[in-house]
Amino acid sequence: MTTRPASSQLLIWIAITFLLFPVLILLGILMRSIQAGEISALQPWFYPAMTLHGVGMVGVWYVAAMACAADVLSRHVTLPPALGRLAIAGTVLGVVLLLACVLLGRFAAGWYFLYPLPLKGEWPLWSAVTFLLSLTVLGATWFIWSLGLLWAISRRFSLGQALGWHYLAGRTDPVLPPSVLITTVSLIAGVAALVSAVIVLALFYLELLTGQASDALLMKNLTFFFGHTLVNLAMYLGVAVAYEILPEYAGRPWKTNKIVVVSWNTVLLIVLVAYFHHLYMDFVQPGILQYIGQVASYASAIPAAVVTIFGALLLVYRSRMRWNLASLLFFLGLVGWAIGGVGAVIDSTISVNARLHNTLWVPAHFHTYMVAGLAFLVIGYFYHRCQEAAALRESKGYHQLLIVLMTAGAYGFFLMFYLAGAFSVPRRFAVYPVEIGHGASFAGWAALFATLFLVGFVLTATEVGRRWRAALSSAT
Amino acid sequence: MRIASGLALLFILACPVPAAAAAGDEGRLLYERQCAACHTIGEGDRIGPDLAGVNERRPRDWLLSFVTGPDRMIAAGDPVAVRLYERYNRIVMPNLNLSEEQAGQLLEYLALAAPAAAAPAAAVTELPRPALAGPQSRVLQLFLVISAVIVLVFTWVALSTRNPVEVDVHRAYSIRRVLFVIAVVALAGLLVLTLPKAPYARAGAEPARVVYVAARQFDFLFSEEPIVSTAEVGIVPTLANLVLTKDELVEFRVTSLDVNHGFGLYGPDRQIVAQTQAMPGYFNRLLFRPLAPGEYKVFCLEYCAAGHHLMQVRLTVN
Amino acid sequence: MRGHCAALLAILALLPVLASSDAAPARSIDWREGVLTGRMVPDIALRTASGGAQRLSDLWRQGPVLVTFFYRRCAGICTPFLEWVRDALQATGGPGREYRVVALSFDEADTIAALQGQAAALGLRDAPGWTFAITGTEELAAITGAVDFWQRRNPTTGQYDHDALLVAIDGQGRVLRAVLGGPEASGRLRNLGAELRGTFVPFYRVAGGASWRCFAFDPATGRSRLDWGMLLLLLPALCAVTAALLLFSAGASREP
Repeated sequence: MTTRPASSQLLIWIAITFLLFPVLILLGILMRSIQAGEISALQPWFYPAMTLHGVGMVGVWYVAAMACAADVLSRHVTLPPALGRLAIAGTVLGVVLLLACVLLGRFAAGWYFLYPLPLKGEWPLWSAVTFLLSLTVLGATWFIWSLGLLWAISRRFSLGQALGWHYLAGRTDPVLPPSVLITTVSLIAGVAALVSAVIVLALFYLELLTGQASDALLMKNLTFFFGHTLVNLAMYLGVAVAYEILPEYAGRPWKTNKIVVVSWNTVLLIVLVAYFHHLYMDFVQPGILQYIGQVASYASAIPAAVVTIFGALLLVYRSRMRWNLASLLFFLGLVGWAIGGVGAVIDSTISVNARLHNTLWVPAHFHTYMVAGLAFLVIGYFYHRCQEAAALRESKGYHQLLIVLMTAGAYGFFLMFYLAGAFSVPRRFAVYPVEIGHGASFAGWAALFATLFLVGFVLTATEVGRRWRAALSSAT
Repeated sequence: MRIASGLALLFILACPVPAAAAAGDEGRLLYERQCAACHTIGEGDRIGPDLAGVNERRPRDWLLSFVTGPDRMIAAGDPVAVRLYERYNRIVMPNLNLSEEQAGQLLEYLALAAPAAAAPAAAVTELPRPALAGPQSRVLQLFLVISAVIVLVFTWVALSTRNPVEVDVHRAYSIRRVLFVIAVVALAGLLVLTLPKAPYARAGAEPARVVYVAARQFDFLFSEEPIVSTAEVGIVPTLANLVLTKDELVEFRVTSLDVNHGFGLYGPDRQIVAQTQAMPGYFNRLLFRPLAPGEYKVFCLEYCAAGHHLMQVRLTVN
Repeated sequence: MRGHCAALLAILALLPVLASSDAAPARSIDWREGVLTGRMVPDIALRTASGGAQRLSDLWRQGPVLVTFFYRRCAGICTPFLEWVRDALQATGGPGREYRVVALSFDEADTIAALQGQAAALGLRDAPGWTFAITGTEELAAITGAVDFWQRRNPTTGQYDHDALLVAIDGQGRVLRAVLGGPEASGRLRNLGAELRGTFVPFYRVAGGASWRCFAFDPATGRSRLDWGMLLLLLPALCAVTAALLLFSAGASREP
């Protein structure tokens, strides 16, 4: 078997991801256990843990997806090595600041820190300022990282080519790998999201320095533009990786064509307006924006389902598929994306949202596509690259067991979220009031299933880790 | 603005406060503006302890120094203050910047204020899980059915790799066209069906009643007239027990005095029947027609810091 | 507003500046305003500037009524106050079909001619929706008592010290809302004017005032319109497109 060395930067990202992810899972299990009434003594830590879990998970999977996409991109364009180093250094610094403000200052404004909560909570002001600084560092780092990757793409493709417009005119030269197309789309959307974050942060600093308050509705729009877009494009980056790697296992090509180009260019437009669905319950928001939100959210399902999911299924259908831990995770990652997407589209219906908004249905659907979708794709890619470099023997039965553990654990705790959401159990309640006391039993079961997932993940991470060590010695 | 505040000062100088707003009222205003969001008088503990009889429980000097500087007392390690802090979930009572004189007025009010008429009903500790009904139940079923279809299709495709064969891509593309049309028609149909059901206030809807809601960390205030700042709390009369009439359209005009909150209305069957957000600077107008009589509960559905899960209010539909 | 004419004149000098100023927090209201909400207003007989007789209930049956008090000989606040009311209401379309304004004299010395003089001085002689009126001694005492209107005659000057009070009454003669004070209540009075015309203004200024808002209320049309803040929402997408265009045009010297 031929080996292909892994890049040392990717190996560092794998280490960071696999170090932070289990800790953040433990925080999630802690939250569900507190809600279940099992460790009430830790209740004062619920909201700080929630904040760290939220920012941490969004951040980890965003950088992990970026790292995978950058690694895939390096097959097609030349990346400046300093860019990756900067991304690693900035992310680590941001995480340190974040840990400081939550662990020392008990900062607890939630991951999207809706204005003006950071300035009006029970935590000290310094912790809010540290949190904002942490996000500033992370935001600035990721902003430069995104621009740097776009710049690297621009060295080989023009903007029109990178977006595949020449395919629309019937030309296929230069050949554009789908992963480059999707990464370009995601990075442009990412720049928009990060600019939005910059505006939010600037307005926070303005208030801290001058006392000039901000408009709550405007801040909410900017916050969700940033939050929604960042989470979505992390998922897209994961899909880009699937487009690149899945064909290698299926032994068939998965190429760019007119439909793929149209669909991902549409995604670029849709992702910028779909975030309005986060503001459905803000009735002052102009009605037209609410309706655009629903139409865009529905429309975003078509390129995803009809083009990408269908394309992936067609790729695998009756192919000489080589099933291993990586390809199984890729395949299951697309299942998670599809199921989470269905949960999301249902909740993006305004009249349904009136019943489900801020219930546990919301974490239900985003955990589905973040964990069983994005995390599966990323872990799959990490395994794929380490195995490619290390070429250790693969134990099929054991790997299938790991997959079963992780999948059963994950879908078990998702189901508890979905059921609780349908029972109107609100999200983000440290303790359930007596009327919603049934939320506690869902929480208890969810904690058990999440523990099962954690076990599955740790064992999987060990499998990746063995190959990671071997890959490290030959890293480029 | 300097001129404006100068003018306000002139008004104040020119307007001796009438007798009705004298001493006792200062205490009441302070209590309603600064304390009532987290404490009750005789209705039990909330974020912090019930204040009924607090003058008898603690020495006056201790009370005065705690009310004027709770954070200082906890930091200094005062044993009672620390015990309270531990007991009430380590939420530091915010320093309200009260003077000693104001703290005195507050204590005077607490001494005079009669505990709420009815003693708190024996606390119910557990309720059975409600039946899953209404739109939520249909939504869950729809979701489970579609998810099952997705799982079946993926499983079928995965199993198909046992018998590899070359696939006719052109036939697959024609299937994709059919799927595309089906998806577009289905989604467009759903849009047409669901968009008109959006809960937004429309021209022509004439509510029989308008209720203003001011949310704050950590309670809700109902009133007939808007309350948009803490200064108005205690001045604009609030509705302690909101009673609505079955089948009568009511418009809630919901705002917040501090951070974002959610106004999540739970029906007698303990499911969400309507909701909107509460945002400082804005009124969200929620039209609601109660179809079932009984006890309704409002919970905060937007995370708003440590007391978030304790923020609630009751209303009755006859 | 109470006090001597000298103090009033000092305030008056500032009125024009302040009437146009929105800088004060939106609703710093007097505690007495809230107390009045929900009170019943007695149905008194009115004699109007046109010489006719009407009952207050004749007016409130046609829609909400805004009652305010003045006296013709006032050398102080009355005329500027009524001008302020006139302008603030006019800014939201003014009274007429949706609601009416009754300016009631509380000086028993005022006559029909005095009412006509006051209306003319304000340019409101035949203005739609405006009624200048006097009433009988007992009825005056009844209505001023019902709404806590405070007044005191100064025996040396013959002038009155008195409140600047506006009371909105609904179709059943119940107080909807009271506004007390002067120009610092401009925003509130404009909103009240809009609401009496059936337009609810769904936003207000918060302390600390926002630099960029999503909405502004246009008093002339009584509608909300998008403000500059909403434009800020386009900025991220614009920046992203610009950044992409710049980066890719710089990369024109492409690798083979």
